Amino acid sequence: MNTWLLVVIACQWLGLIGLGVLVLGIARQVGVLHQRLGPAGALMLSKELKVGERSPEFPLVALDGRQVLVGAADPQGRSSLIAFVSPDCPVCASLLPTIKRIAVEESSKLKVVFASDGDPAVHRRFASDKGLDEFPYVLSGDLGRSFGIGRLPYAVIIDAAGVIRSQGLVNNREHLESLLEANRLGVASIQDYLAKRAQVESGAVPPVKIA
Amino acid sequence: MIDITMPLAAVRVALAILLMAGVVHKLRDMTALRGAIASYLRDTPFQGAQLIATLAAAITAAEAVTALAIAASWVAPFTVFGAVLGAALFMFYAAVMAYNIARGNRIADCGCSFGGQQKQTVGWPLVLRNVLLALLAASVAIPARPSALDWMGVVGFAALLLLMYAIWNELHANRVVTGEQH
Repeated sequence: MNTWLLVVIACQWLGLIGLGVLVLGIARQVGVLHQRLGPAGALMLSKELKVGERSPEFPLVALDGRQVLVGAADPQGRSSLIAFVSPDCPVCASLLPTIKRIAVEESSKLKVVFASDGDPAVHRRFASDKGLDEFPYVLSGDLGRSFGIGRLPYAVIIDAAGVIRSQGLVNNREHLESLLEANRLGVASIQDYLAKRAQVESGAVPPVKIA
Repeated sequence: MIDITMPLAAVRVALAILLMAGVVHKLRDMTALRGAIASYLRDTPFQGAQLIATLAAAITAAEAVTALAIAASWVAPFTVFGAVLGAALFMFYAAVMAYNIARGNRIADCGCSFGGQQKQTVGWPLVLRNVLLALLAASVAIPARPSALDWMGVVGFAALLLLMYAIWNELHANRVVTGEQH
């Protein structure tokens, strides 16, 4: 074997191994990116309940001790608004007066339930600070997980028959109204609604009024 | 006749390095190794810290002996010895994994990640990997005596094999992270 050939082969080996190291580095980097994106991906992947599906029933005890059957059909024909909030979510706090106003305005058609998860003492203080004592306030990790709640404040509207009519991230009264609107319109706009909801969930656009 | 001495020798070098790396990785974190063994033995009659510690020591020792035997396989008596030990060791791993998959015992960390951050879930790809490693180990039985001129090919190919192994590991672990494989 002459020297020239030896040099050529050596260069090829060096090149191959260098490329191997590069591919390993890229694979490792992809792994790091996957891990960073992990939680967001997991939320998307979670089998959340979809609009049009029947909500599972959650027999829960509210902070004030009353029994609440979240997600169940209502014999009085009222829809339920489940508002997922948290004491450490500033947007939730700013939305609370709106939810309370809607609860009063729509009291004949809508009952409001606040839902969260965590230390009952903290939530009790939060509820009394914000004047939520008249509403059922439930703490249940299962409830949040079942609906695949990732970001707050999140609202779910369940109709009198126990079917999920609309749900989404709500940042202001308009968002909340759009959910109520979707509930009023019922199945007629469901495709449009689902398309919009997909955009809202991916964070592309804020929820808009759906008509 | 085609001379396959170079790839055979490279496989030996790569396997010996791979096994030695496994031994070092096991010795550095015996607690994790015992945890991994315990997860393989979950819901079996084989329990107890004593038994698990013995198994951990035995597996580490087996890997070390196999690595040395394969490294020494240029000398006649070790050629078959290294091949048999290596093939038996990897087939044992494959069988244990297959048994655990078959009985529905899901193991989040196979205990084969060389102390890396990403854990590999035990699944059929890992069984296949161990069977392939066993086949490579069996090839040690073929006598191969590289001439002095082959050294570059042997070193290069061995390095390439190890790199491909590491890349496969990394990509497989990534699939676990993204939930594509459980």
